[in-house]
Amino acid sequence: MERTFVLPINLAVIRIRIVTVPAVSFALKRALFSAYAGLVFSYVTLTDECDRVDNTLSTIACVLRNRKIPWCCNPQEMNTDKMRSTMLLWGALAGVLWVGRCFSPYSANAQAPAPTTPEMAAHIEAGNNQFQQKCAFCHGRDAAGGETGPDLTRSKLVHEDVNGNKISDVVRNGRPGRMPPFDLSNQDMSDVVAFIHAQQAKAAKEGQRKGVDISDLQTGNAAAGKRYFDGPGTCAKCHSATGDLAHIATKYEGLKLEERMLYPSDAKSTAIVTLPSGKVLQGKVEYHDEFTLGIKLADGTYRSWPVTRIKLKIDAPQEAHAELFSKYRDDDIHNLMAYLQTLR
Amino acid sequence: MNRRKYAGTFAGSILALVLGAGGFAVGQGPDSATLLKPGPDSWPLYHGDYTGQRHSKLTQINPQNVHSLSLAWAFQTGSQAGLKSSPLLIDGVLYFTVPDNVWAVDARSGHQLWRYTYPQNKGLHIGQRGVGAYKGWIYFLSPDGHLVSLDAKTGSVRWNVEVADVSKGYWTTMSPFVVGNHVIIGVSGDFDNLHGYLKSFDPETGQQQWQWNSTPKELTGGMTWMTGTYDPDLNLIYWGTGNPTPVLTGATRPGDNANTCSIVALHPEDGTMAWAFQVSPHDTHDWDAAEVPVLVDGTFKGRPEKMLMQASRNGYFVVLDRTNGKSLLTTPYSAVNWSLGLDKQGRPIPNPEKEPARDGRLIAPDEAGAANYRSPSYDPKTGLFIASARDAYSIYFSKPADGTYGWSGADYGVWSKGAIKAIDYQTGKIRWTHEIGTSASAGVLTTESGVTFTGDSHGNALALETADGKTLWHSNTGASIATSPVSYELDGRQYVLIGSGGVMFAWALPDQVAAK
Repeated sequence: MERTFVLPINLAVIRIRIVTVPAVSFALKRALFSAYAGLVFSYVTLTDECDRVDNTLSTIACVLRNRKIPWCCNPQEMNTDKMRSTMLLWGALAGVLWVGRCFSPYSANAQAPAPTTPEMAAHIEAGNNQFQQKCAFCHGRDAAGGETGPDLTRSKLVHEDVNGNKISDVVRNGRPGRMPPFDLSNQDMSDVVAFIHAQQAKAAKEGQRKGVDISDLQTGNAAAGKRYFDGPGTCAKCHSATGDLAHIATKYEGLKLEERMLYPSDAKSTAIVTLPSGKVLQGKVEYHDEFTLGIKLADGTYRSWPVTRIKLKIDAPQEAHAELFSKYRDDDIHNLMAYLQTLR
Repeated sequence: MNRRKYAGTFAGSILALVLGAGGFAVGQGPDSATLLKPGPDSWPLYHGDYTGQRHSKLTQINPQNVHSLSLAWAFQTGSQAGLKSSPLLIDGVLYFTVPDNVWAVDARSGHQLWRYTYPQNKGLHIGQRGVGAYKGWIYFLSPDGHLVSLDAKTGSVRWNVEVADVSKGYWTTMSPFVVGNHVIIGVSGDFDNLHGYLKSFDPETGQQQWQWNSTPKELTGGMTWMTGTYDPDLNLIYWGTGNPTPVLTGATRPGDNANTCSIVALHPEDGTMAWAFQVSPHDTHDWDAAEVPVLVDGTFKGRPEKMLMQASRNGYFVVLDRTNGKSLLTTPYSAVNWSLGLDKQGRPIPNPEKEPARDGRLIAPDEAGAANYRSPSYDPKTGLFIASARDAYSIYFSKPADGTYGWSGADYGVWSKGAIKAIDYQTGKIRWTHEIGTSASAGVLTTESGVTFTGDSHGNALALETADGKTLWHSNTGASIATSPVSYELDGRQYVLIGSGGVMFAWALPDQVAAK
């Protein structure tokens, strides 16, 4: 759902800027601009997962011209009135967010202030306390990454978070299969959020982040990567540089691109199920263990059966990635990265 | 229930009443002699006994009737933190934990007798693996490094001593190990360059008896966060130690980094070391060799041997002569791509090309390892060492800007797969594999009747046929299982306990099936 509303926010941003910017102070203008940039950026980030949209500007141009929105991954159309009211609503919300952003002590940009007041220091320290108990094992004591959990000081989500509006969702809901949910009180959550932002600000200031920069991943040879892609890597069996991987380097970069290249963890298998009645159903596998299969049909319906009651055929082409793990030399991976990064 | 059993129970009850009235035996907890030979109605040590085999002699539940297994009771801790502890059973009372909490629960009914809550503290709350017990007292480690002795009957605190400094970055999770007149504890702490150690305390007073440091002054690491095992004849305790620090770079610590990622044998009286075997020399991947060092007496290639076996986090299965620490067998049991083979002592040789680097190295296993704290089990009848294992790949990064303190790099899991693997200890060959999903989290219990209890990565509690790994029974628990099963018999009824999420499940056969 989140994705659906991103585009109107951006459009509203443009309108409100035109109307209101002359009336505000220079400082507020700067804040507005950075917020705008942030929103456009978040739009690009979110639509990264969508094959339908190539880039923000051409999409916006297209929308303004046609007064239609090619809804991301769900190409429905909206009538103009509905669109206008949606834009106004989200525009107003976006405005509120900017103001909140300007006055927030944990401004989401990297210049978040150090704890200047004793209250703020106590707030962050309380967050530190919570963080050490519940988060530190996976995310590290300094939030810069630990066992299994990512470095939060470089996290895009943390960067975009305002007063916990994004962090608290992740903390409360967890990430299926990767992170358990934590039921924190509002106060504890607010403390933890303060601590994470303070750590991000500190890491940015010290410039000593652990983790992986795009520049770290540039040791490969693109020509060798292409040879591997077409040859021993067998990548070309399923993928094409001009087909599914065209412009891949504009959608993903750095570690994210490398991780997806090694194994696309969000890829879902397809199941073809024959029921006892003889009826055949096809869907994306949502759940599959030794005893039960759950699939989502094209219309969004979830169905599940004991595996003993059905005939089942599963297509999981992504597993070809796993077969390569034991064959890779590290150079192969670096070369492949170099090659994929040419696909712009 | 047949008449003889009935009579036995009646006589037992009378005896218990008499002794209880006299203030003896009931609620007195295990003494040294009981810990050496636990009965079928008890589980007085983390692993059930000193061998670490997690093998139950009970046979009421067997491959033919296990499909009838049904819920005896379930105990809701109400805790957000999932259970990772292995319960102790003493005098009909179960003791289990999550961080900051100990429960005493009636093992027949699942009713709570008492709950102890440790005060709010700053320690890392990653897990709590259970308590230790001795003569009517319970020993519990807090997240902030305190050893607390509780009255087993009431849960009231007898004493509380600090065993590790939380302000330096230590925390504690393990089940204290009682051997003779010693309560032995280990510590955790990977995010700072700290010295690992074991400490022994007087069970009555909490006075420290000795301390053994895993590393010399100039080296840090070697945490001791899992409960060890004990051979009373050799009078040696066996313990696994963790990785050296900084974790992902070896720049400041050339050489093997002795006694880290190792299995060590110590004298319980004074903590002096008899021998050490390093499973991962010069580790740069966080592969603690803390997994259970399982003690087995049996034949190895025709010769009787006193062995020690470990399915280690680094992907290697090792068999040692536990009298001297010499290698009998070292062989991978999961995907491994980081070694150049074995050295003369039978230790894997780390490939320098597979140390974490700026542009990344693809490594198997990943940081969570082929094995971890979940317990394996040894089944004497089949000679199978059964482990809940992972095949896993990840990319490891480290560069000078990451510094040389604590983690000093980053690693990202790419892919993993879990399986219960039955290893023939004489050859290391995998006799059977039972896939359990994308990872592995539950430990393993084997029983004398040929049933293997464990769990898959979807929260299914499983009973497998020990001989071939075929599924005999399952029940979905609705949450991730991060505990190792235990089993006991009370009033002629065999129970199997598996903690899942915040719930302890007790399964047993219906009376009419059990009576057959």
